[in-house]
Amino acid sequence: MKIKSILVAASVLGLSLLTACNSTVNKSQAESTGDSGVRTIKVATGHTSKPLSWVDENGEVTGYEPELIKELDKVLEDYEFELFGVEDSAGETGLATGKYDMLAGGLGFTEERAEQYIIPSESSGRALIKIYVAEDSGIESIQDLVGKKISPLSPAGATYKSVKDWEEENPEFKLEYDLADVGIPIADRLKEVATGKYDALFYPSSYGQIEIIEDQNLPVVGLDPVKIIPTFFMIHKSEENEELKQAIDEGLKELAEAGVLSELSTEFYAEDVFQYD
Amino acid sequence: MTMETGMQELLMEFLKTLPINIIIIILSAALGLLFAVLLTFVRLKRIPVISQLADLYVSFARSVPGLILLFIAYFGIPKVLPLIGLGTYVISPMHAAIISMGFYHSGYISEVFRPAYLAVEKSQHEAADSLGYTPMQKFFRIILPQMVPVALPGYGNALVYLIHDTSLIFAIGIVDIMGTAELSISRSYGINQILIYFIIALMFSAMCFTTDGLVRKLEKRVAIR
Repeated sequence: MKIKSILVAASVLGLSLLTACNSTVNKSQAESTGDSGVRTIKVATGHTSKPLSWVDENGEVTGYEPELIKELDKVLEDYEFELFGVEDSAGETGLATGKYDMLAGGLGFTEERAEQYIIPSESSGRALIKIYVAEDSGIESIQDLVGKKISPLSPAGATYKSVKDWEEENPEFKLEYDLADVGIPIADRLKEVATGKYDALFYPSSYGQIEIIEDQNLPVVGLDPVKIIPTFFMIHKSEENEELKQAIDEGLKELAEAGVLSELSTEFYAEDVFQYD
Repeated sequence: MTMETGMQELLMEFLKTLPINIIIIILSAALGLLFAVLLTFVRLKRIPVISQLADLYVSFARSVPGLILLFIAYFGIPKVLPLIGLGTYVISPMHAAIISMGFYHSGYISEVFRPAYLAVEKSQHEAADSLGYTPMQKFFRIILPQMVPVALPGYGNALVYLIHDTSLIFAIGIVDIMGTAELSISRSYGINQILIYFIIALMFSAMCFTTDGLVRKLEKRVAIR
């Protein structure tokens, strides 16, 4: 009797899983091939990268990139955009496999990405690599960092590359720093500069530094960017997405000309990232 | 909002999302158990090719990190199914989590069940055969009652590992307790990070402690019988 009950329970579990999977399929297929001729584009974006993109208290995906997507949704009549907040690695994996049509992750152009994805001609934003120093440090530019204590740089990512590029262009200045994947929240790293543990911190400016410095009342300032990197949406490589690329280019151009990109930048980054162009 | 009320609200959010972890744990444990029983049966029967494939399955499930299995289930299954003529499927994050965790769990506990079965002395099989038991009667009346006490401690460990692995499901967008923690840390730019992780550690600890307690209770019951 007991064995029979276990077998029945197992079958019910298996069937309910399969049924649930099927119902998800039907719903998604109906969504993406709606009768209205409007194509639904699935966009992956980060869920913990405030202010670039994050999930707010109401469970809504928001931030500079998601709000830009919502603006594109308004100007591109043939497309509808659905946002998915996921981990960065899941976003890129899902884009490569076609699970997502587009990735809004504040990514820069690289040859490898251009080979793997379709990259629009119009950029969606700017990644600014800035130096954060104590207000009274007297440091005004990257040249002043010779002989100073620099917070460790992550060997991966654009920050280290930007610093290395600058060093190659300016061999007369020798900077000293360690390489480490620190994993400390940006708020704590800014505090390390404020308390004098380090004299300077190189960091992309899109992590809410201005808001953190104001909220925590830290005596820290961000200098002008060392490097300005245009960022792009990445599109899954397929024939039908060539049309999507055209549409994204047109939409971004229209929004940039109308000043929407600068407005969103000021709203989320507390400064217009396009002012340094 | 004071820090105290902020923490209270966060605790409420954790409690609200805790059922997601519990559902995933229960369903993947059930799915894993079902597969593990089938796998162990096939492996013990030594059916040519099929047993070797089952061995390969167990080795793969146990050796691949949980996050990779999660990505394979979520992104790989919708790609592979049409290739083998099974139509187009879109798998939701919840289903991907249950399938990948169940897959991992089944591989792990099959390696607990197999030695537990082999630990039953050969003479027990022979005695049952000489008394004219059918294979089913022999298994359920003689072998299983001797297998369970051997398998339970290992099974309890496997459940604890399964609970740990649910901390990865936020990667594909499921907002469980770990997800709630990460989102909260992100919204506050990393302030209170350590405190939030400490609360999460306590919650995972409580889940493991409860599971461990249940398994121990079962162990005692089985030992008395």
